[in-house]
Amino acid sequence: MTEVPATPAAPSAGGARAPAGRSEWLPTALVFAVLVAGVVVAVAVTPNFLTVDNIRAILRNASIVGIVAVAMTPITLSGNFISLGTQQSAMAGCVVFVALVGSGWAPVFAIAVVLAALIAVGVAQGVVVAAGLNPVITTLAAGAIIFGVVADATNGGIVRVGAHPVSWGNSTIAGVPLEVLIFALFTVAVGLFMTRSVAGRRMTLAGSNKETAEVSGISFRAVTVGAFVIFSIGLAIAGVLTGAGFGQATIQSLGTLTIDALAAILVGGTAIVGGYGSPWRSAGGAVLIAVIANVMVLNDFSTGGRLAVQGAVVVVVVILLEILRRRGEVR
Amino acid sequence: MSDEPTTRLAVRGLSKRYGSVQALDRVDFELRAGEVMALLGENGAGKSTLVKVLAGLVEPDEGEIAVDGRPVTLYPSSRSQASGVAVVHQEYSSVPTMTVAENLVLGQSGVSRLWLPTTLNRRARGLLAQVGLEDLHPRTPVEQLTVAEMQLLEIARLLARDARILIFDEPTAALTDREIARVLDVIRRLAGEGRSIVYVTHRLAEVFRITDRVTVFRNGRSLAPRATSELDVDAVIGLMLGRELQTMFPPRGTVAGEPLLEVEGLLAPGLAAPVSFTVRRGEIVGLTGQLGSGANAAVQAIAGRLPRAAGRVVVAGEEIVGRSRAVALRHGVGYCSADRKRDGIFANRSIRENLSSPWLDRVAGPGGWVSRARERERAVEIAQRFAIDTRRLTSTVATLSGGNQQKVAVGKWLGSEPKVLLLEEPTRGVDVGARAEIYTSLRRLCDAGLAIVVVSSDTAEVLGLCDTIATFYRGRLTSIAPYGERTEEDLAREVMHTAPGEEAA
Amino acid sequence: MAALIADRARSYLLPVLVLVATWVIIASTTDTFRGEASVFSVLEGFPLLGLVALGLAITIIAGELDLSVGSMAALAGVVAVKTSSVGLVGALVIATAMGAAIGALQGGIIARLGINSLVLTVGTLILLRGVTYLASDNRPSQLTDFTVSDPLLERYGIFSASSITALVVFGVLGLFLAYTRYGREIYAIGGARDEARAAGVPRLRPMVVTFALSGACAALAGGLASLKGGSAAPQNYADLLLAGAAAALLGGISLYGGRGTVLNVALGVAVLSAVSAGLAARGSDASVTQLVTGALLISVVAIEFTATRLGRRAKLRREAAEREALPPPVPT
Repeated sequence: MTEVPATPAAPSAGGARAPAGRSEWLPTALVFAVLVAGVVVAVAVTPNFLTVDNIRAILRNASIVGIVAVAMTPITLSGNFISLGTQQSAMAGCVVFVALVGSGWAPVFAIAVVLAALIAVGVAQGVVVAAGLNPVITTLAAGAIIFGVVADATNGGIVRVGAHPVSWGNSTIAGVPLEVLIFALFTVAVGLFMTRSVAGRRMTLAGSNKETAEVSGISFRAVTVGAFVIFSIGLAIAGVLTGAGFGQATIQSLGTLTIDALAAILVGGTAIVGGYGSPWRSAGGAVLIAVIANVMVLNDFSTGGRLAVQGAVVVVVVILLEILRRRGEVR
Repeated sequence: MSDEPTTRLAVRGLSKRYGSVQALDRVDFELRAGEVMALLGENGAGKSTLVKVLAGLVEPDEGEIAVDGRPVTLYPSSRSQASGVAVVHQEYSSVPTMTVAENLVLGQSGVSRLWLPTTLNRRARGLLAQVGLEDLHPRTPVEQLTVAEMQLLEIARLLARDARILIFDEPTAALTDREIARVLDVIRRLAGEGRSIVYVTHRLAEVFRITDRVTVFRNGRSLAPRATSELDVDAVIGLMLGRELQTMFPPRGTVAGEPLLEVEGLLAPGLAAPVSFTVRRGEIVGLTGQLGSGANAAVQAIAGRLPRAAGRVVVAGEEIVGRSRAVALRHGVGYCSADRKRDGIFANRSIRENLSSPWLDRVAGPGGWVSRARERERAVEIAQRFAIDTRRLTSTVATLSGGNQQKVAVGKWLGSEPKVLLLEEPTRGVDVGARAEIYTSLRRLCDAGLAIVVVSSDTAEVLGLCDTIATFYRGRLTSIAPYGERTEEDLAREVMHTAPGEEAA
Repeated sequence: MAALIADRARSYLLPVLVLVATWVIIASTTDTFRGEASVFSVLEGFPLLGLVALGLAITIIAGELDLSVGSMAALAGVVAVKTSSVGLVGALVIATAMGAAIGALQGGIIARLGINSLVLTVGTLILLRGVTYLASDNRPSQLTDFTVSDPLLERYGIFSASSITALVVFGVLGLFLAYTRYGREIYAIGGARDEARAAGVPRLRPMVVTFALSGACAALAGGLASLKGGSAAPQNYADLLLAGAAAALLGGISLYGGRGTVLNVALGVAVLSAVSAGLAARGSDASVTQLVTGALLISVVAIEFTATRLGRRAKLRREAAEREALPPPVPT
């Protein structure tokens, strides 16, 4: 498979030793092949799968997780592993948004407060991580602190919008639910940012090789803080959309978000060690996981079955991708 | 089979090729029991490849190896170890967080699974005594040892393995004089016990101090061994350099303009005395010295990779204030380290992305959005100037040969409109063809108005390429002069720090 | 020799001081946290928190991190409750063996593929949780015969049967890590992986042992706690990762790998269970415990980080001074 083509090209001018950029596109192709295969199997075994309502439900389920997965991808790409405090931050955003709206604030201002607060928390974590502290431990601890603070503030109870429901909470535009639309827009925005903007390109470079990035004048601190800012924006969007949709929030809101987002990123083929992957793939991963979940619900699988399959898919994809990458690499 | 009864190791007709580079070309090598053999040669002469073959890290293409008259295969390293061969590397294999005694049993077979402190200590004491470390407590954590003690511990570990052929690869590069004496004593003692020693070094004084015979490598070939007592420094240098003059270097330019890089009283970690020099527009200055001489440290401090403790760095009349790499880059200082894999390339990104990494902001429009067209245009321009295949700009750099990777690592700075280019060992691990291309490109850049500083331990490279040459020794700049004033022998002597005709330190 | 002993003692000094301070503060503000009762309640933290922290600490010493410990404990809890008909010891052995086997498999995959343990254990974190739900049929499993677990509730002064079990495991693993080749290899790959490999430490074995131990510890912890409680819910123990990591690091296990002993873990566990016992006695919510745990975790990591930085800077200065002292080169 990794046969070296016997190119008679001048050794110093070309030196082609592997198909161009294969290690780049192969993982993406694999994920989308799995996605397509998943849809085909799902359609084959599930009579109610291909209905407008069901597709809408899938995308809706994928949206919140997808937004967060897409937002976390820059952290992963920039070589800062993952955040284990995801659910807590998004939940805090959700609770704050609902509480503010419930006490009569205009949603716009509530959104601004949530955004500012989460970005502040994100920047703080980014600075700590950029200084060299382990990102997994840092975000785990930060999540626990946020959770404790919110639980204390709400006394563990339910916060409601009450008399001030958010009018656009469950709205659709041209038949497309709001969160689906925002998921799509956000993915495009982050995707373009990562490939087209100077800041985004630098994030990927820093994740690919921190030392080379530093020699190239790229500040690891700026890159890390920037990635955490994008992440915080995604968390704020997820929190606000959830709060607006349900009209209420507790500390248990978005309970499986951390795991789901990580699963989406991993299934999307973004390597946690940095430098490989893209927001598009994470979005694809989120949709794939939503499709699997949907098919299993329609076929009467339990929560456990869904989690088990989700976990199994993650483990298998991680191992497969690692083997493929190894093969694609030419030394 | 050898007719010499005391022959411990015999190598016949050994060849090894890496791509287009013939690293070893039908090499013969012979080592007797109880002798210390110096292995000499310039960088790229094939010494390190021979060491790797003996250590079982590299499989030779052809050739025979015999230990004690019996033909053996040394690849992979487990077989090499079983044959009694052991290499003392420059990089240590001790775990700093563990004790001396533990490090002496780590990874060794035939040791009890129970590691009781008393038994480990007893075992360690015996081994430590053999290498002159009887005063060291076996329970000392390795991180508290001095560099020399670590070196000796490394030797003790190999003795534990009952190694009969010990290969030392520049063991004294990082040591002080007193420490060197200590290590050399131990090596002599080991030879006295009947072990065979291969001693790889650049320091000629040590050759005369402890070796019995000398084998010189030149361009992948070995010369017949000579008794050390028959030689003097001049003879050894003559043996090492005696090769046809290379024509790979481009002609020098004639014009040198105004000063572009001025370094005054520079002090940094690795420098023992202030360093000052000036590089003019269109000039290539070569800094040369051994490992740890300070030449690399000086360049790294100018590039902003090492903190400057004192001194001024002025680029095109503007002083660089601040110590970060980003600041130096903004002043127009491009920099390539010797270790291209570590900090020169993004292996899993495309050639285009690598080329544009230092100057992304220069091809960005308002709002920080990269203009793909301008990025591509500039990348193609660099690729053409450095003879990089422009059709492969989207391939990852990992798919390129070493020489082409180096072209990417050097060429990328062009897009950042640099004034000064600092390069450490620009042709290490690069095949001959790409080497000549890199030299030509550097000279052309110079003619186009850059100032270039090259750090190289290859004296031929410095002599052939540079307009001005500075030598470094032990953290100090020892001399600086135009290229015509010294021969290769002079330079070699300065760098190795031996006076003409000197036989022993 | 005296210097060496002092060196060793220093690594315990800070956690001991923290433990004493915590103890004094909690005892002076909480009526119920005094005397024998206080020691008992702290020791009761060892079967669950302690064992999980111990397993996690071993992975940290090896320079890795096992994120799946919470899910593993939950799964083992369900398995132990479901197999309780074979008797208390049998159920615990089955659960622990399962944990060890799954852990060994994880370690093998990590070593073989050479991947970051975070990547794989995030996957198994989800997978094992799902398997737990499947095994328990999505609802809490109850013991059919509550008398099975009675011995665990037995109290002997300041000890209970379960805390004794946990302490025995601490002792055995302590000896294993300190005095056997397999234990020391874990320290070697965590302290300096490339050097250890160059010295001849095998690639696979230490990693398999590390994750087998971590899996077994988490499984035993989940088994003990679920049997003692009489039921096992599939959503249990998700917070154990936080508490376990906090305890291990609080006790002085270095996040940079290769350092720390079982005694460090024990000290950290004691501090954290004193804190949660104290908070519980004052009627604080579980969420407050989380907050405090999180805050402790981040501060201890920050302290270690700062200390390492300062140490490195001092070393650089020392080396610079040594270079200054070098004799000037002889003129040629």
